[in-house]
Amino acid sequence: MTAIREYGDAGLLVEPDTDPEEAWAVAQGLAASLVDDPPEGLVDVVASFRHAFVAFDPVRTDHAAMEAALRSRLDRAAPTAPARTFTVPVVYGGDDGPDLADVADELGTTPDDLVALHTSEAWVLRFVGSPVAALFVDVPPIPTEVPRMRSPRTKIPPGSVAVSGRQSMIYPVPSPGGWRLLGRTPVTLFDLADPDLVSYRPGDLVRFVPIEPDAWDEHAGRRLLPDEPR
Amino acid sequence: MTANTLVRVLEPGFTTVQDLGRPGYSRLGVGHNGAGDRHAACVASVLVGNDRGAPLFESTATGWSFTVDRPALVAVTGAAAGVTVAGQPQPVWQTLVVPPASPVVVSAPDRGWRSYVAIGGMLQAERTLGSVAPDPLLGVGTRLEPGQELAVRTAFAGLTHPHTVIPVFRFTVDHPAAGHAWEVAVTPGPEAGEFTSDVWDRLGDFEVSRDSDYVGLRLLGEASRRKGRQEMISRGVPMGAVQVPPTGGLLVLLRGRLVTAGYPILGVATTVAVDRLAQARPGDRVRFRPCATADAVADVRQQAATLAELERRVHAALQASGVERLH
Repeated sequence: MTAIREYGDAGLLVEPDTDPEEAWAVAQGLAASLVDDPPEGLVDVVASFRHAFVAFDPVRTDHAAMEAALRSRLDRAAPTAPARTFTVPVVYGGDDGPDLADVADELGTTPDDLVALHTSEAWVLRFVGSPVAALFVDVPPIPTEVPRMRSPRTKIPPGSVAVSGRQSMIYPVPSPGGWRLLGRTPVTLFDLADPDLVSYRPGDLVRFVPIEPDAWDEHAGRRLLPDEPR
Repeated sequence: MTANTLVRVLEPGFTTVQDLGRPGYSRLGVGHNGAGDRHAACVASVLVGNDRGAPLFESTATGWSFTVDRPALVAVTGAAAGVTVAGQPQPVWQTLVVPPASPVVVSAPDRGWRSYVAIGGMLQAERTLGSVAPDPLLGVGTRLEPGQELAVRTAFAGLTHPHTVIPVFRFTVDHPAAGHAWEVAVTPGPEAGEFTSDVWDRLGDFEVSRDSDYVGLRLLGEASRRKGRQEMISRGVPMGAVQVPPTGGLLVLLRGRLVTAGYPILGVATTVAVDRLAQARPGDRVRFRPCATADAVADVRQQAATLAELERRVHAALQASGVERLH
């Protein structure tokens, strides 16, 4: 049974009570259905790893009517667009990844082995979130949950590749944040001139590949686009 | 006939062009943003006959001043301590008819933090994803500079009222008084049950930190502690979310929030209360009051009804004064 809970006077939090993969699929399917065919009063929807947060205008609808609209859509499957793979070059460690050594230590491994783990597979892109166009992936092989910074950084450099829990993300713009920084990518993630803003979507695959610091300029400023089909 | 009225900035203070932000772009990670005190912004727009979401000016902590080159309808709302036109004090939260080349000086607030100035017509500023609202993460926004000129497209060319040379509007506008202590209504958040049982007793007295900004208010004080220490997975967060960071105190999300977060959420400030929180300045005190969701919804509907009624009265009065449409 999917829990739908009050989340303030203008919101509902949808939390499918099932395994993480299914919960993600339900949340994404719900969000896609809401965007395609918005119910009266819908303002916004944020589908993330396991949840969907639905914001609405409490003057035009109410919690009961919105919950009913959400329940009627829960069994709609997410549209299955073919997954593309996005390859993200990353300079790991050093000034670009100041938390690499500490996180490796906390996980009982070495920086090299943590990089090997992070680059071992293509991870499913779970959602696009904040700051602007940030992509979020699950990294299930992380052995134990990585804690966030106790006191978040005030300014993280753009392109920083970070982990928390068993998840990873890229910060596309300078921003504050509490995730732990493993490295940094020279590619840019979004284009304000593009109405879609980004070229990736939930369900795509993201593969991190290590590069040497002196290879930065080869990739700098290039926009992240899907790999050419083979 | 529609023409451009030019607004010339004298002293800019800290003033930006605002509107009601970018709802609906969360799936791209773009925050809502827009006027911090949304109700005050809507009232300003309505008082000059504009749509509620029309671009207007928001100043934070400061006053500012400007002139117009043609007669203009102007309204000042929010925290501004006062406004003068050509040196004469005029009412705030009211429709003013400003003659050309008469300096309009908006005072800095004594209490509260954000002030709004709306000008009848369509203020021109660069839009991104449908909105003029500043978003430092997107790298967009228009911040005023001394001497800057902004165009307002409008059909308004002054009033020709037969009975008086100085047209005066007197709309009654209910607006909450600003102070230095704020009582904020909150509905329970998803993690409310995970805190020690004194959770609601411990929401008595916080101080607004200097680290606060448009993203969120950082509140100094002792909050209830969460019972577990499990990492939380990131998920969507509403504006008004009262988060409990591990470093202590509280972080209340305002309209510039990131769309997801991973801290436990004790409660969610009501829609009406988020506007009040946008007026809290560093050093002010904040006290939280538990509120049932139904009561919070009733409050926001009451506020919407009041605004709709004001809109009807302003339209009727402008029509009676010979102003058919502004843009």
